[in-house]
Amino acid sequence: MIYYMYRVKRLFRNKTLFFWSIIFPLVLATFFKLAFSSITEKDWGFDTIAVAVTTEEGSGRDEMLISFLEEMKNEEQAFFDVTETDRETAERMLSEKEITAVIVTGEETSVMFRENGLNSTVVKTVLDSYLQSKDIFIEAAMTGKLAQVTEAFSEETETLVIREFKGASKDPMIQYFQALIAMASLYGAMYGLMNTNELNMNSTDVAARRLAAPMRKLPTVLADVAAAFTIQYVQFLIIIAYYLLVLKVDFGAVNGWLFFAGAVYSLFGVLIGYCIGSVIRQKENLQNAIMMGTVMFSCFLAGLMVGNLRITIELSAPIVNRINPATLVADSLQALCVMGDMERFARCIVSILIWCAGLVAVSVFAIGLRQRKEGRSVEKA
Amino acid sequence: MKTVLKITRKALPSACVYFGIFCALMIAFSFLSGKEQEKNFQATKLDILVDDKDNSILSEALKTYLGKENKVSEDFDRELVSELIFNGVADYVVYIEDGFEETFLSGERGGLERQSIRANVAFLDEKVEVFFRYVRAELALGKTMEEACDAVLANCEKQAKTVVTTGKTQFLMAPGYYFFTYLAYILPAILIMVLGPIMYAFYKKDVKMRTDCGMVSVRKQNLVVVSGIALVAMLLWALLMILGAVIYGGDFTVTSFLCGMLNSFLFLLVSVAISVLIGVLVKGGDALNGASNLIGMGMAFICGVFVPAEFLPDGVNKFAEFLPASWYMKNVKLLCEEKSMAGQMGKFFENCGIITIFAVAIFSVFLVVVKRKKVA
Repeated sequence: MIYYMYRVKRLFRNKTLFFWSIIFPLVLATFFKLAFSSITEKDWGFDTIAVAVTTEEGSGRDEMLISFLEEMKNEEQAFFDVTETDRETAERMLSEKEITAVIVTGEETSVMFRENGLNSTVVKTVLDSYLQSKDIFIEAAMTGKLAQVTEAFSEETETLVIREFKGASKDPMIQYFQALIAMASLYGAMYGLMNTNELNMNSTDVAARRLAAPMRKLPTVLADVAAAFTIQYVQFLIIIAYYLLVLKVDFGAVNGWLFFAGAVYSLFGVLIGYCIGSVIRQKENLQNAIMMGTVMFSCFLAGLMVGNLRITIELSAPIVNRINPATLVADSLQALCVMGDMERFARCIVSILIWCAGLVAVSVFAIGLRQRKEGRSVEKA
Repeated sequence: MKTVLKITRKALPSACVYFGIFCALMIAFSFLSGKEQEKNFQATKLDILVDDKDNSILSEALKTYLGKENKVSEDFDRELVSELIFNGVADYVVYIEDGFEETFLSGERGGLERQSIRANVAFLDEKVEVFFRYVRAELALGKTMEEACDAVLANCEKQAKTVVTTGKTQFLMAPGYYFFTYLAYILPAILIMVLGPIMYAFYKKDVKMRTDCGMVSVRKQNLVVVSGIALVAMLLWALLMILGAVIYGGDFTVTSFLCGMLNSFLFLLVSVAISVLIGVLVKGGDALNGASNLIGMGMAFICGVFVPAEFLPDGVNKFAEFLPASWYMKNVKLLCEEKSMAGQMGKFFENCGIITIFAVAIFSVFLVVVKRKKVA
């Protein structure tokens, strides 16, 4: 226990590891929040569109169109904020981006936009609908069936039923935060790597001293793993608390399973470091480079740098998502907190545990192989 | 000078990593980028998935109707629907149940649902309702379902005349835009990693005291460090500019590319000032690495490099004005939004002036820090 406490202290006091495993993810999360918090609202939100209606010289005011535009509502919010004005003023308003479109009524109804985009598409779609309805009424009047058509149009029957999206979060930007947790969890590899290097006599003076101590090696290794796991898990809790309490990220439904999952992620990260440290017994710089490269590439595939990459891979090469460590972490968070899909969550967690078992097996095998090799060298000598 | 270059060589691997990131970002966004904005109206096409279990005349007509101005697909994995919606791969999913046409004809509601997490697809809901209103009207005229659907689809060809009045030709999505944009991230990041160790090596207390005792005058020492830093910074800038001119030169006019060079040169001065300041403030390679990441990425996020400023909250945009990268980005936007810089020169040079003031201010802080360290 004392050994475990000292090991926790030792790992915690390493400033570089502290920076990369906790400060960096927190800072990155803050930047994500600053940068992405308005995207969904601005890109997917519903805003009333400002339009100006102007009449061609010599034509009368198109009252039907104006009331048609003014009456269109999405729930209680109006689709359009209509300003009736002369053409010159309307064009000035358009060039100064005060409005999205200028609708010119007259012999032929036309619309002017400053630029293409969804708002322009909405104006165009609604205007087309209006013109098409007009045509149907004209045809009905010509065939003497105006009453029937008017009745069909005035029916309040709605055909389309809105099916609510079941996810607990409706902010797709959350996937960046999920990938960030994956990165922070896999950064636990740094602690695993430090532990292996401080138990490898050829690597550091600390390792030489520790190995010379009159203590069985298995408890030493277990205490090291427990210490690294503890720090990593506390860091996971800090990040989650920071997301929920400080940044107030819409992370979805948080329940007890998240804390269990956090423990699995933390162990996973630490074991990755152990495996790299056990297999690659070269310079520390090389170990670090391989570890960072592996973690960052894994996080890239999980969508840390390009948000939709995970779903793109899911559609083209799903096997990559089933085995990529960072994707498994991010995917399990998505399944648990957003989709509430416990089956998928369980599949991801089991995959991570299989990974953990594999990493332990490879580490033990690599250490055993090296010990046998060193033993033979000593015998020869 | 030899020492400066030796230290630079040591820092090259880290700088190469950033250079690699820069190239990867540029290449990735070059693939995503398009050509200049169309002068004609182009409707924004939404990705609509349709799960049609009815396969009736009415459901087929609805798909054709929606497909006229959107991308409609029926080929998708039903189990992944929530993921597709959540990730924005599908904007709108329509579910048509078996027997929908009969339900519609009976005047009841049911058999047709839609799912989306975007609030701004409300106009599409309205469009769908309008479609059924037309069909009802055509049926009221005594037509059969097939004739009614054909009439509605034919009637859809009637569209309002559209004019796009923009006087500007937008180059926002041109690859060249990304070249100048990502310079705002990469210049401070690389320079902190390369120049930081030089400053750290020369201004470390013991080293500084030793060199001050030597034969070389303080003035000459400073001159050597300054020329070394200038040489390294200029080499990096020249390399980047040549790369930009060769790959993305076609996206700009000669004037706008020259303006871009001037803008990036001024930002280079700011980056050098930040790097030398960080170099004398922090200790060791790890701290430099951290500072490089935090400053490079932080400024890039806040100043609209990774996410366009239009999408950032207003508070962030206001705060960003206290950072040099924000003014650099304003100039990049001027370069890329305007085909001709003629009417924008005043604004451009105004921004250049602000960037220069930032460089001078940060460099002054550096001088104060060095002076204080010397006194201490």
